[in-house]
Amino acid sequence: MPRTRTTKKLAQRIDLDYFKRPSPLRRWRFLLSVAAPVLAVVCIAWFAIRSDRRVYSAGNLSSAHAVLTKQCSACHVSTMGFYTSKAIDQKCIACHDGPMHHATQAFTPTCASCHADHRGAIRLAATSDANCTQCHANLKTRGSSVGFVKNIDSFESDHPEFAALRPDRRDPGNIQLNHSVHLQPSLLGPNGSRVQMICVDCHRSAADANGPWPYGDSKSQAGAAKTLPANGQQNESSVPPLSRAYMAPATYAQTCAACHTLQFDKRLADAVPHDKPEVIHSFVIAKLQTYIAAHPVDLRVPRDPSRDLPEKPIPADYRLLTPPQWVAERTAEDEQLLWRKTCKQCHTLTTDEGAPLPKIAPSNITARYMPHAKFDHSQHDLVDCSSCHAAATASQQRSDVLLPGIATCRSCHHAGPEAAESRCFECHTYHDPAQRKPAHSGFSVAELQSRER
Amino acid sequence: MLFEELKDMQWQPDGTPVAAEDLLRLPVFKDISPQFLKKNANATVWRHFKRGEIVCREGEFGSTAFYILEGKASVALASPIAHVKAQGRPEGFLARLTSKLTSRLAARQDDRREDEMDRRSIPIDAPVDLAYDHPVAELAAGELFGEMTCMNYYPRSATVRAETDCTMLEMLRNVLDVLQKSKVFRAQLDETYRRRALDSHLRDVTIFRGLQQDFIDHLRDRVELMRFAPGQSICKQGDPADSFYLVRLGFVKVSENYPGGELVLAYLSRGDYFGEIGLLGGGTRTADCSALDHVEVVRISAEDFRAMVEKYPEVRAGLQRSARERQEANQERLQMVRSVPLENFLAQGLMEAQSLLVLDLSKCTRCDACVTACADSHDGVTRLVREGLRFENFLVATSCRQCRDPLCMVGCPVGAIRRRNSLEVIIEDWCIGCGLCAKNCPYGNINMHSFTAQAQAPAHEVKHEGDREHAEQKKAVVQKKATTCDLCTDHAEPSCVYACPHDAAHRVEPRDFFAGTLGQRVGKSGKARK
Amino acid sequence: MRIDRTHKGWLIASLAILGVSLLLYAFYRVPAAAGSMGGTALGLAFGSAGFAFMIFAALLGARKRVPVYRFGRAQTWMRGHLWLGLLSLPLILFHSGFRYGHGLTAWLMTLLIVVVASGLFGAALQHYMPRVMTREVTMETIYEEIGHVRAQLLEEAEELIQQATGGEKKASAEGSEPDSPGPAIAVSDETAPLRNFYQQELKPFLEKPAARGSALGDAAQARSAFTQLRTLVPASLHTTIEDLEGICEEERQLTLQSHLHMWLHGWLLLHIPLSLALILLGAMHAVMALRY
Repeated sequence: MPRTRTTKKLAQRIDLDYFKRPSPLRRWRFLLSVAAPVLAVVCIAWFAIRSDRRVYSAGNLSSAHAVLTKQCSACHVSTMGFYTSKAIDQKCIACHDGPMHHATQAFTPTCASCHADHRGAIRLAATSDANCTQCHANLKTRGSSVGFVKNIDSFESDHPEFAALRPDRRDPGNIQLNHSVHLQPSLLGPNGSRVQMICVDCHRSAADANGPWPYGDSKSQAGAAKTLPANGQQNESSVPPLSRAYMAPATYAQTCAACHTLQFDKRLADAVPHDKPEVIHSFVIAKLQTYIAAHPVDLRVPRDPSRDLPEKPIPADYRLLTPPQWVAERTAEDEQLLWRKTCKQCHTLTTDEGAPLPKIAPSNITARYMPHAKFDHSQHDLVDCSSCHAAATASQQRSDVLLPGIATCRSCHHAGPEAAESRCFECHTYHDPAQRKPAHSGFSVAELQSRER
Repeated sequence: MLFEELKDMQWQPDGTPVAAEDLLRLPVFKDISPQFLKKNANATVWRHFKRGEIVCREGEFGSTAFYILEGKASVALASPIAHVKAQGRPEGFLARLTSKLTSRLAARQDDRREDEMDRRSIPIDAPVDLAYDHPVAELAAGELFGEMTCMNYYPRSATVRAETDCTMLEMLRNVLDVLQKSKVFRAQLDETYRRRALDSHLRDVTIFRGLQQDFIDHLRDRVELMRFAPGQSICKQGDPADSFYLVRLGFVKVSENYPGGELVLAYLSRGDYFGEIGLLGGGTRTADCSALDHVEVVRISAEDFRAMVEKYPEVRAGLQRSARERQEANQERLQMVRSVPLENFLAQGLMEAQSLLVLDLSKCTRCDACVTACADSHDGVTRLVREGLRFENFLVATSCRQCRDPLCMVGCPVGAIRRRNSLEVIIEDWCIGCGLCAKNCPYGNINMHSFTAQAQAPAHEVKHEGDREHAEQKKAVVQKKATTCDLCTDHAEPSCVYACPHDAAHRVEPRDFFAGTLGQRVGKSGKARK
Repeated sequence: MRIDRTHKGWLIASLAILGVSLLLYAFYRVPAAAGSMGGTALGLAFGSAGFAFMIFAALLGARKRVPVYRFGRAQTWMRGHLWLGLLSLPLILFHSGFRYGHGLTAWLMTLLIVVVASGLFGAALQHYMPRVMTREVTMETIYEEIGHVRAQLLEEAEELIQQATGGEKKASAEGSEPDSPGPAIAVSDETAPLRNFYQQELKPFLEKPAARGSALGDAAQARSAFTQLRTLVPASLHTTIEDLEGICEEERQLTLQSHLHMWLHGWLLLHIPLSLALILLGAMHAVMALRY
């Protein structure tokens, strides 16, 4: 009999409770659905038991903080509310001070808003431009407005020209210097030789100041000379000694002494010390006194016919002076030479009415042209000095500011992977370094190595 | 009193079974065997209705017919004679997203629909039809109504209300069946029909609308009333065409035979007609017409028909037009239907179903959500089995099909399985678990489930002292109950359809759902066109 | 669930959400700090939205357990699960700023990607497999009842064989000479091939239909085996053989159905457990990240 299929036959083959009994598929589905969350809970519990909170970390710590990987409470504080455990400013300041930027700033962002950690081995100080432009793109301050440009979005777009180079600015230095003359190919050098000077003969960083100076005095030429602090040096104490970042101001002893000698009298080979007029005055007097004591014959001063004047009576053929007189006369002559010619070649002298000695204006050599930014010459060693300071070779005025303009910097420092860093932090520091206070939190090595419980 | 003989009858209170002797006094019962009546003593009961009382309401399911002995009753349709019209559908995606459709009732004069029939009378399950404009009619003594409900278990077609105090006989199917075979009864029925309903039926046939009254009168006495049993053929394709038929009662299937199988063209019910193509054309039948259930037709012979056509040429024109339309439609269907598994549709008995649960197998992921949902809403026992034969890419699930002719209800000894106010099949609390309905259901949609129930031993079994103690303890017995899909009528949507995540389960009316496949033109009203 | 035109509404809504999120992310993130995205206000919004979508997606399982509660049709929930679950991935990517994460967040990103990928795979399976199953397995039954049905098929085969060989036995007994009384102990030659075939090939196959090595496991081989068998037995047994062939075909189809069903449902063994773990760990992450 052929097999037939009817609905009734098919339906009656089925046991009507089949869907209540679990099939292997359903059973496995249930088992796994229980097992997976349980496994998850077990994992979480395992980490909880071992107090290992690193599993909740959003990323590895920066290189600076990597040593604190096991010390979550170094930054995360649990006492703020019963639940939160954020990294708060107080904890940052416990180890390193982060002084305020400006007293007039409109608001103070938290440490973590600019320095986000847990992003792997990054440079924590490398904040993004957005952190700066959140204020500086549209600068508002509390109280008086400051003289800074109010809308800066990035270095390459609308960062203003450096303040020292603004159109109305002049170099405030009071020492005459013509760079063009000094850099010419065949310059009259010491002892009558012809030399070609190069930048580094005069301009070196403080750390290199102990090296031999080819155009300095004998001590400097020998090297390891002490540098005299220049008068009225305008600097902030922010220049650390022995830094390679900034060029130290050129001093006479190191850079000028070899050519610009300070002889004062044809009888003497000595040079006056490069010092205050009073000191020079004493020196000259002392030297002359020594001389006349050794050469009493010069006390007889013959008449110099070329010095006869028509209206004046002819003086005696010779005068016999006492040593003090002689010294006084010679001093006056020599000082006239000095004040009117020698010193004046570089300095600005003013003589008050009736004052015996002139006043020399402070030299005002600028140690740092950009007080609000950092610059490190040693990072730029690969670049030739005149490539950035292009104006130096042609500069003839002492008032020329020979700092390179922002355009020069922008030729390398702009956005893009093949350019040098151009974000704000590369040159500017948010935290006012002048107000930095020392701080340290005092972890022990053993503490740092063990996981906190 | 209508019948003289009734004088001698003792009126019994409402609900009392009618004694066989009393029944035999009635002229209509003259031919009936007394033994039969005695054996089925409870199959006929006295009913008394006070003036204004409702005898039966339209839409209710029943299983009895009423024969009026005394009094007048009005038969009417209480529902508004209007269709549901959805208010203007807005255009545009967003508008549709946010708007709500409202429905209102609209009568024919307000809203004319394309496929609407122009019926003047509404066919009901009574000797008279109701006029469209004023759907009220009167029934008097000696008239029988509720035949369709009684014979075929269809719902009541109209509301009958007693106009005066009435006395009626209410009878079950077995009695009516026998009555319909009696010549006397038949004669009376025929006469009533001719007098009251034939007119309106004829006039309802569009092409006959223009007929003069004298012609109708002429026809009235010439028509023949014929009965057919379920499945009996009325006429066959290819037979010589010698008559025109009007359907008085029941459903007629009109089909054509093609090499691929049988194609059902239409289902005709009360007031519809067929056979005019054969009369107009070459003179042979172009389709098979057979009775789906208990069918009664009015037959008009060919000569009378031709006389009609000669005398009224406009009738001929109308007939020819309608014949042409039908032939075109049939051709179209044939094109559509050449490769369709109609045989399958019929073989599976899907014709019989009013509601099927079909699972779209191209979407079903066999996840058993439908079965679980069914079980969850029915005390953990599923009424649905996800197994059965396929039709096209659908699985026709084993779940109650709300058959037109509910075979499951036939034979239930305690009448526990019946229909309620909708298509829903109910198995009442007093199901004794005999399993007859499960055996009768040809699709295995009824299942017997065992429940453990506590039962006390019946008192008469207590014979000894010891037994009394035993009787007072409750016994646990295994009780079987029949269960079947109840369409979850408490909810807006059946649970299985609601719970299917993949839009695969659908409770559908098979002829509409598969209309395209079956090649039937489905009009906007959703009814198959004739 | 077939992804067809009825999903248009969900697709448009999802694309809208994605578009809005993308715009918000682009406008906020591109000019923003290089710090973590998750902790910012928008990052938290994305994280919460993504997590909410994930929770809704996970609730589908719960919804399916109470199918009769009228909380919304299962279909709506399923579509929501597909689209909102898919959206959770881009939202979480926005939340993380497209960073993979470290420690717990790295596990979460891995889990999310695996869950969404397995979900997409499963959705593709549910799109294509039902049609494949319907086409290939015409005599499909309920998967969990395959064992039961197989037992009934074995019984049916046994009965067929009994009837065929038993009948032959009777016929041969009747036709045998009267002087060999008693039961026909001599097995009829005519039914022997059938019985042998049953014992050696058919019965082992019916008992272990999925085992390799049986000739009947392959349709073409089975066909030739049965054809050969037909030549060895009388014509009266051919209907029996047809029935047996039908039974074998059904067995093969049931094996195929098992395989296809495993494919259609196997991926859930990965998707569901991992998604639960994902939700749990995601909650843990939310708690811990907000804490620190």
